[in-house]
Amino acid sequence: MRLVQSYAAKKTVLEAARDRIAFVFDHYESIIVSVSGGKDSTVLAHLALVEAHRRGRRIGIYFLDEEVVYQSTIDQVEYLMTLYPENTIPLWLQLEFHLTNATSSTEGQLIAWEAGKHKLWMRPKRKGSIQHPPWDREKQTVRDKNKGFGFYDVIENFERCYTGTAFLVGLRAVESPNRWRAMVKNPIGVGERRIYWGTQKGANVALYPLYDWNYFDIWRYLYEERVKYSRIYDLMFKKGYPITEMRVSSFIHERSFKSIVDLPEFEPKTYERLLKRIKGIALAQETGKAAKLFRVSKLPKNFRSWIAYRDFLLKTHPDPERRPIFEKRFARHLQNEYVARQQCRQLILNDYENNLPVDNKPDPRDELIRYYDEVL
Amino acid sequence: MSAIYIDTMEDFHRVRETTEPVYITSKTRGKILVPCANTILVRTDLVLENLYNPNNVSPDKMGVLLESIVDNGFCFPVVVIWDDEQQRFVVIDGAHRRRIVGPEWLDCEYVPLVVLPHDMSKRLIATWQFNKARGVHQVDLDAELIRRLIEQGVGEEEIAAKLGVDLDTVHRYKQVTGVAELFKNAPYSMAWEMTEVSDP
Repeated sequence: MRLVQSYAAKKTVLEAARDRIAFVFDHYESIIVSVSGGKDSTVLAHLALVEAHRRGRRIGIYFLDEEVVYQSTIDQVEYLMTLYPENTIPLWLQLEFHLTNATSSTEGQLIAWEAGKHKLWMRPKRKGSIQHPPWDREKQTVRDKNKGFGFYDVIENFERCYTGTAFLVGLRAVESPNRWRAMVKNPIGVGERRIYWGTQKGANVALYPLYDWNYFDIWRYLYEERVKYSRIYDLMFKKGYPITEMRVSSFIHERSFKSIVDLPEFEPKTYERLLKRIKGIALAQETGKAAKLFRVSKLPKNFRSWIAYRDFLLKTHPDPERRPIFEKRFARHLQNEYVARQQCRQLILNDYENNLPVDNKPDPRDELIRYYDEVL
Repeated sequence: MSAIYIDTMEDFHRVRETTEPVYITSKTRGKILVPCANTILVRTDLVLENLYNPNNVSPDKMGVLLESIVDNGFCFPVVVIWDDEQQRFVVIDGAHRRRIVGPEWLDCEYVPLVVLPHDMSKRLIATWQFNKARGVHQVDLDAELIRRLIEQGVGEEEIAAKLGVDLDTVHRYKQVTGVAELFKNAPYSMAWEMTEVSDP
């Protein structure tokens, strides 16, 4: 037996998604939609809310607020939370948790909604948001004690407050092929059916009703249903971003610091707040585009090799507590230019958490040189 | 007041001796020098570019600068210091305005200068300050500006030429209804699902 994609149903993705959502409503009393302010979760929340409205049911709209996000994201989530108020249980989480700040080497972690720093917060907390952990503090779990209570810890502890709940997520297979492949291997049984578009998560399930949508399906739906979407997309479009590359992400994670570069042009007020909020942001804005510093793709002129540059960065690392973490990790690595460049990147991004792991292998250039030595 | 033309370094030294510095008063920071009140017109070949300017202007933006100078006149003098060793003026701000009066662009005999009495470190800092202390255009305000130009009846080609952007950019800025509308005629994809089949 093997798994294949079947188009036998001859339905559009919209018809199929509506069927899937109706199926979820038939089988689950408790439904929660995770939203990010992005376009995919906007479509999903809208489809689910329309169905809830039709059935006179209430569903949770769940947003984990990282504090340091576009104002447009907040506006978008506010819009979704108030679209069908009588059918919505707002679950807007504004709890203290740790975020990694890739842009500052002295302030390794930003604590979102940090107690006592309310004057510096990007904006005041929202009325009616969840501001204290709704779970038992005694039973609270942390994945990694060194990193502190992080983003995924909030999600896991929050989800454990529920049982038998369907968490709807706007994941699309074409966007996240790896996650999709991993998920398909573990189908779940719901009623009589075997569902490939979901996974068991403890006492709950995560379901992905938009898994087969393409980006143009998302846009078509937003247009046709006159659903509002984050204005960042229109600004990115005006700036000439390819439509398939538009993401509304948080600013300060390793993989998304590039979005700070355009922030002053998109949301100058948010940028000003951000400057006050986190050290190092101004540097990322000015150098994010210059390949030299943050992408670490060009060796600075005054260094002869990546190894020399790495040793320099390690020797001058401003954080004595983090330096040994890097030293210990690098000791396990091969000594070559290919690896050293990636180590430089980790040092510059202060990635002591190893979010961007080093591809520890022989330098591909050496092999190429050897090949040509033999051939010539 | 008639313009002061400088053809030789002797002209400059003579003028320098007779120039009275001009000040305005700040209520917060006291006396502030106004070098631009003493702008002089200097022979272009007496002015050298600096070698350390990190600011980079793309060729299309050079085109905008040229159009701007033709349309609005030379409104911002090039900022220089007098370098005794080289016996030349050296630019600390306005390298591209200096280049634009060169033979490959406007080819002018004179260029307006303000001369600052800075040493090397002050020069380097000034260059940085001049380049960084500038705003960026907010995208939606740019879009608004282009929309208003179109309302005024300015053609798209003319806008593209004057602002130094391509037509595609003008079209994107003109589009006010947003990304979603581009997809109004996109057909929905066909749904698929995972199915188990037995191997043949």
